[in-house]
Amino acid sequence: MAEHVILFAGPMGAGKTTAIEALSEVPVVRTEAANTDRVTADKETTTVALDYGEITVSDTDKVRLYGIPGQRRFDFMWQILKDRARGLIVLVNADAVDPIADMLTFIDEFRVLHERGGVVVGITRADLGVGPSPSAFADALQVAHPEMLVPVFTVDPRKTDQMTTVLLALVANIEMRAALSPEAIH
Amino acid sequence: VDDPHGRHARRARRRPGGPGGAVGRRRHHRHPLHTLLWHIGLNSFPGELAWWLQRDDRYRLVRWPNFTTLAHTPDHVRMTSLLGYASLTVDELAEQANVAPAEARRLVTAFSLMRILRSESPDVALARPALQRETTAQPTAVPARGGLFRRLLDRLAR
Repeated sequence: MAEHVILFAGPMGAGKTTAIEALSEVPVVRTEAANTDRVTADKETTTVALDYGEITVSDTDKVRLYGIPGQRRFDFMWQILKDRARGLIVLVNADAVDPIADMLTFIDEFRVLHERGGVVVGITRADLGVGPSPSAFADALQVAHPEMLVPVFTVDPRKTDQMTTVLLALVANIEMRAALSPEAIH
Repeated sequence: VDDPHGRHARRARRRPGGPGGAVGRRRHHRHPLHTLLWHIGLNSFPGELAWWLQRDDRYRLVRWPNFTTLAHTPDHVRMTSLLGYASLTVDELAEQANVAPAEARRLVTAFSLMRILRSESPDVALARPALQRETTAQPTAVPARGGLFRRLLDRLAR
């Protein structure tokens, strides 16, 4: 069976677990512990190893959705999952202290996934109207990585239709990149 | 809208708070104008290319639209992805995406109104030394409609 591993990365409280729950056809496997950093994200628990969900596409295809912990002290999990992944969805909450810096940190950390697959940015909590505008995120990406054209969407991670749009844009880019690789063209 | 890529666009980019302008930590307004321009582009030129666009020009995406705020189809997403990776004429876009030419024209018109496309005239491209020409990779092997995108779409529609 072909497996397509998609990672969900971003700071604590951005909505990664919620996004996977919106897409997964199975109950999401969660590895949570009590959240001791209530300043960054005011929630009871946070992911410490990974979240896991999946979509069975056909008898021969499965999309595996992994949410990685947002705190850097758990970054040993980042490398393990990065090596297996084909694509990345970076979620950042617009009302964080510096969400653009958060986005760029994760883009830099997982840059290899852009080079071999695809990356999409989802801005959560944008409906609060606080923090940088959506275009400011795209502008910052363009300045930091002019060679990358990364889709930037505002998204409510609770809404399956919006997460589906994010996932389909990512898959379209992964397939297009593969089709346009030198090996595919020549 | 007689000069979508001209002076007005450049002036807008310089405006504080606009794209490229100073953006502080403040309340921002969503972009209702993009929603309107998207709607106008898709529906106001019944399948024809808008008059300021050229059939022989190649178009390339400079920024993805915020699709979660726009009524869109999966073909819109596929065509957008194509334009992100290659400079294409409208006819090439329709062929590569395997959509009706009118659909490609509508999308390009909408993106032009939203100022998220750049165009390249064929004579300008040929006038430049080959080494300076932008890569216009031809997606000869664009994923067929039976690729993972389509299978995933079918699965999620169930």
